Amino acid sequence: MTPKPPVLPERPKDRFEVYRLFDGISSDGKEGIDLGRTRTPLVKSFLVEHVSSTRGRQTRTPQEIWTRLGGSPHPIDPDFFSIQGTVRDESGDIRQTTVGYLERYDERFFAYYTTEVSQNAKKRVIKWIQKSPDLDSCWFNSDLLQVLWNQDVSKRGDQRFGKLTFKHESIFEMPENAEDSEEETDDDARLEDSDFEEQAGPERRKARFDMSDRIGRIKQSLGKLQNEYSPLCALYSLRFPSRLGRGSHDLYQHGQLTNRSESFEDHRGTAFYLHQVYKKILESTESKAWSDSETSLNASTRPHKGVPLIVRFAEPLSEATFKQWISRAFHKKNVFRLWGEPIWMGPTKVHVYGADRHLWQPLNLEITGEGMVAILPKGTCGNTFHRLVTNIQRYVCPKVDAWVGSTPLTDLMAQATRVEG
Amino acid sequence: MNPSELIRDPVLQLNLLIWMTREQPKEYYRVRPLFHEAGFELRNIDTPFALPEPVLAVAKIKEVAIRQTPSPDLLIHNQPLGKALYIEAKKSSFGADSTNANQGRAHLLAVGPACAKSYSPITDVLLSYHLPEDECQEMQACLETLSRELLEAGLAPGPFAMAGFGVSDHSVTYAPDPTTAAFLSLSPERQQILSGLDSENDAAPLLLLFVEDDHHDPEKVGFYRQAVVSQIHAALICLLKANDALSFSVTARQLVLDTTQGTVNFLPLQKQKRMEKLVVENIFKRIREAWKDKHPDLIRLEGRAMTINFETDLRRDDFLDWLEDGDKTKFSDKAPPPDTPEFPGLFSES
Repeated sequence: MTPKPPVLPERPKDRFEVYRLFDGISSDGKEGIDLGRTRTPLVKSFLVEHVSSTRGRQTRTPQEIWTRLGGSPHPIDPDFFSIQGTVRDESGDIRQTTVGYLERYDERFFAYYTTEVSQNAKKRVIKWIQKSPDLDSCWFNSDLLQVLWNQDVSKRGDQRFGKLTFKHESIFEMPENAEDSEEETDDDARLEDSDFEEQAGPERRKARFDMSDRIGRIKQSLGKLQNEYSPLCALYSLRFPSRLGRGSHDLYQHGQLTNRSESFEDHRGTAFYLHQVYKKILESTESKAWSDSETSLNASTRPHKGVPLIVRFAEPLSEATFKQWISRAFHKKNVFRLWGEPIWMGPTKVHVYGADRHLWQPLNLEITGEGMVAILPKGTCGNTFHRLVTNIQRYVCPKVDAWVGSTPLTDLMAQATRVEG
Repeated sequence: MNPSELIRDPVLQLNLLIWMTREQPKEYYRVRPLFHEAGFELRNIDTPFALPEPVLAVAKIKEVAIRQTPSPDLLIHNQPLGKALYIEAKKSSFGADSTNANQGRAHLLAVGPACAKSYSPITDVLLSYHLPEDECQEMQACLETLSRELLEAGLAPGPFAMAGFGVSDHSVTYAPDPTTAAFLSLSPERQQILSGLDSENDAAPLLLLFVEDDHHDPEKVGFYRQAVVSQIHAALICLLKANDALSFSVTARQLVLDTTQGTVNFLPLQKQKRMEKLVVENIFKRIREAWKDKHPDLIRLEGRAMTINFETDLRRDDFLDWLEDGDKTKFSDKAPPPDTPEFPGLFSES
């Protein structure tokens, strides 16, 4: 039986009433996890990025954004809002109700807290993001999850339980000389796990692997396993044992954090910590990568700066796979969300002077069978690059090396986690 | 384009040089950033340099033919060391009696003592001609002749040097002469800057400098314009998507600035105008043409500005769907007709 979400108040007295309510749900949830049957869905957060006001875009308040999305946001305090949404009740009727709460961490990042069933909550958030070109998920790519494991989770106690989930499916992989598949890779569908089982088409590399064990034991084996089998570099979710008490928090690539601890405040603290890490990484990516020119001819100015973002695939793609990927990646609903007309420079090389189809910001790319170079014009959100890397590891090549200029992306991430952790 | 063509194509030469200033990983560079590794960064691209009046006066009296405003293709500098490399890229050498010699004399004077203050706080400037390696010897001889002529006329040329691009196996190489190598603190050995090239894929890196010039190969004549038109197309869509008003105005200048991230400001006025003209002729007019029957009042062109009056959200969506679809927009990469004679400068024939 599917757990039923509790009724959430639209107008609580203050945000602490919501905290107390979620604390109670968290405690029940943890008890349910221990007993093996949850009565209410777990509390979960979604970290969402609001595109900053560069490139002439105006920053909008959560109230403006969610009013336009039909979420009828009600301010509980200046940075905390209840959000309405339509749900189908047990009798099949559709009604409007409070589905969660939105907290503004800062001008650029929001967290949406909800107790809806995971799939429904995920669909709702994806829908909001698809409808708003100035909203995006926070993309915790496999390298970032690995850095968080190395720098943080693996140091939370060898006896505690951890869980790592790896997911990779080479959806563009084509046997040599195969005919083009008509199969589309819609990003809604991609987020559904069931697709892994349901898909038709040629045999391709698919891997889904859960590693649930004591942290000490995972530490001993993980590196060796990853060296042997590259899909084990495609880390999809990571469990953070609670720092305050029992339980944990599961972080997913698309910025979802599910609370398996008994405290909402602990959960919120973890979400805020992850937001700070992510923010720092985005800011360092952008400050290094933005290609910019001063308009002054003053000799002391630096007219051209900005470094390329570079990705190297551990395993080069075949010509057939490369063609399949490029022919799909620029389609309207493809998971890569890229727009542009690839200029073919050969069988395994394209140049694209295009845009990020979701955020609608310019992006120049060179993609080859061996890797990718991205140039981010000033104002193009660093999220674009992190989403690209996330999707490459998930769907194209599970093991990659990535750099921002000459700095390995993992070093940049490690620096962010060291400061904040 | 194969590597031998690449090192003789002026636009790609220049793009290679810009790539050499961009920080990249040692173990997986796109173009080896030798200039960046030496601590040099890009300061100017094709920025005209005004020779001082006294220099021009002496040249006039002595009847020395020089161009009054030389513009180095690239000026890179290392501020802490107080050094600047004044780079002129050529696809081949030229003789002391060719028209290019006027430009050569001007470059030599631009790095001479009379112009030293123009580079402040930089104190040490070297002119370095960059061209295919097999052309370096003749270029060296020509510059020696030009330098001697200037000295004989009582003018003071500055120091000059060479660096050669070459092709070896599956790579493009860079060989600075001893003077350039010492100035940049680089090894004078030939070094790979583009490697792992194969015969099937074009060797060209992603363009960092956008121009609307013809490609030297007649079969790929619109190659550079295709990149510019694609970028302008992207800039226009991004502007429209970020703005949900029912009336939208944009100028060709704004799109060119967006597209080149301001680089256009460093190009000669003539080239700036040609870029704007490309926007008007190949983008704005094509849009007006495509919509004139369906909605005659949708697009208005005035000078180099386009205004779109959507009137309804539905029409706006309709227009954006069309604009997103390259099969429908079919923006041309043909050169717009020239309106004024072009004066020599960046990418001039050698």
